[in-house]
Amino acid sequence: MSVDIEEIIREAPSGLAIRKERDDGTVHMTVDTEGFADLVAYLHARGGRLVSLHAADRRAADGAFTMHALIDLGVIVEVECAVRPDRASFHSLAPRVNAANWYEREVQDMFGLVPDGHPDPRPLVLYDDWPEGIYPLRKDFDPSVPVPRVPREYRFRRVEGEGVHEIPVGPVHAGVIEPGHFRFSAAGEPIIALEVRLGYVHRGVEKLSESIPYRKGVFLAERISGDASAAHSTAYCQAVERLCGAEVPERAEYIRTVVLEMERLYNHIGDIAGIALDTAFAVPAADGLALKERVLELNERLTGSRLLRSVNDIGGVTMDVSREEAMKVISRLVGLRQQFEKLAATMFSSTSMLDRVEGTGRLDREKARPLGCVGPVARASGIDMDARRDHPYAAYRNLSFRVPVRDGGDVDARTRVRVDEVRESFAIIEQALDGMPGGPLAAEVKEVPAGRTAFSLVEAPRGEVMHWIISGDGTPFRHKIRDPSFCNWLGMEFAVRGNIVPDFPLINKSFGLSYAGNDL
Amino acid sequence: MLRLFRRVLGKDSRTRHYPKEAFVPPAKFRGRPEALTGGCDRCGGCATVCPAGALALIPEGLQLDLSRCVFCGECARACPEHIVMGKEFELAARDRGELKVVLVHG
Repeated sequence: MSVDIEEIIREAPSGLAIRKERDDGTVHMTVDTEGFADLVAYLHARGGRLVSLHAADRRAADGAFTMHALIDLGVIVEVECAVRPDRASFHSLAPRVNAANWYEREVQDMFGLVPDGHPDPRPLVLYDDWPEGIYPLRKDFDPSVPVPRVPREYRFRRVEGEGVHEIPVGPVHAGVIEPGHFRFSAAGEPIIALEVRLGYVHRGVEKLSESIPYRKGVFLAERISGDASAAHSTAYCQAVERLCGAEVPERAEYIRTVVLEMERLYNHIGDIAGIALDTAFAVPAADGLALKERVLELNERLTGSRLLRSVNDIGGVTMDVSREEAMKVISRLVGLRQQFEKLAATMFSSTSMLDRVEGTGRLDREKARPLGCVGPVARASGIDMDARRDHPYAAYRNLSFRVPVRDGGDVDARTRVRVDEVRESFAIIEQALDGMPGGPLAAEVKEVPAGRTAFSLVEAPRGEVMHWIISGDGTPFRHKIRDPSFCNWLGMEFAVRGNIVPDFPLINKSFGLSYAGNDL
Repeated sequence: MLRLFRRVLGKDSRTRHYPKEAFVPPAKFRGRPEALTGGCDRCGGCATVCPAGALALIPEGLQLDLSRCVFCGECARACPEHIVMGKEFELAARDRGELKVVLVHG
């Protein structure tokens, strides 16, 4: 996407916008509270994708809260405004920028800033019995003080009509994976509406991060979403490295790349096996899970950890991959690749499987784009995006790979995108191991200076991860984490419409989202 | 029929008959932290870097709380002369108190 960012900014609606260029190539614009929504909506209308919308509590230093919107126009533009505490509200972007929906509800819950004009001002993160007036991410909230509980009930959207049933599923459901509630409205088998309600595994990660020194923060980042340890820790490390201007040595970038792709491999293979499982296609389900197990064993041989933990450090990596190890991995990958191709062939050979997945759970591009969907879900709905190519990091700049895009938008398309991505991952790992440069494993990082802002985007298996940090005194002052699942859950509500209830687990599996990553 | 048998018999199985068949951890596996002999000067560096707060200096030596340990390996990185990540992983106990072990040096 070649975009003339200068032209776009020149034609922006006037407001008191102060603009500056940051070291990382992003454009930062500060605007007054009144002009914030208009400027962000304008950038969105010019083709910008909302990457995040969040707030920070700067009352101690500057006497106000701040709102931050990150928009991807090829170049990332960050728009910032102050929100005065006596007003504690801002113009909702949600009516014009649909993707702002959940972000604004989150800001309301966590900071008590009201999005004026938001079509759905119900709590998003806070529990049903959370009292009013207590906002966890404000600096004056003390997590050690127990919060009084006020019994209340969350109002689900109702569908009225003869023969319409409400079906509640979860939070503990058949797969017993992670907790989440799905409130269906159905007339007979076909689903009329779905409301997704999450937050059951909200652990207060962002608040915790504010009291954890950067080195230890890597371990927190690894555990945000257990199967995206490498992606989240890499994004966190890269954000901190940008805060202190650390230059990660090339060898470490390559090792990070290998680890990130190993993570993509085991996730995608597991998801493909999961689709087979949910269509009761037992043979490829079992084969797929056995293949996933082989990748996890390879992870353990390479890093000591099946889920690739303890690899990242601020400034680089903690462990090396010797030439001998690299050659062994490359040779093992040959066998795994062959097994994978057999798996893919079996998957798509069964007409009864294809009958289940083709046309099921369709999410059109016209819905996926305004919702701000990311990852394989977006790519299966015709959206050509991938942070590895669009905002390269680690060693991706030096490696050759394709970004598969399909436009079916159904379970079949989402499965095939993952199959294509697995093939690319095998190729990337081989290139990275083969072409690994020599050199140190980490840059020396002294102090992280306070008062700076930096962020990083990483393409996790589920899609784009963002870590955005304002540095404080030895720990993050404000750490905004945005998992790809946060962008994609609402897509589920559209994808299930018109499908039968028994297809819900299959559609859910094809989205393959993280509850913990969403809830933080 | 024979083709089916051949296909089934040729299948990869990752099932191991643990505990009858022992699990041999790979070289980089991080099991229970262990003390290497030699003089620990009780600097407390390991306890400071532990992200899980699993290490504490007590009169008898270094106390490791296995109910907190996440086997990240930071303690061994901070003090390679005195701590190493061992290969022991069969660490279940019936009593929480049993999970507090003391690493004594020399």
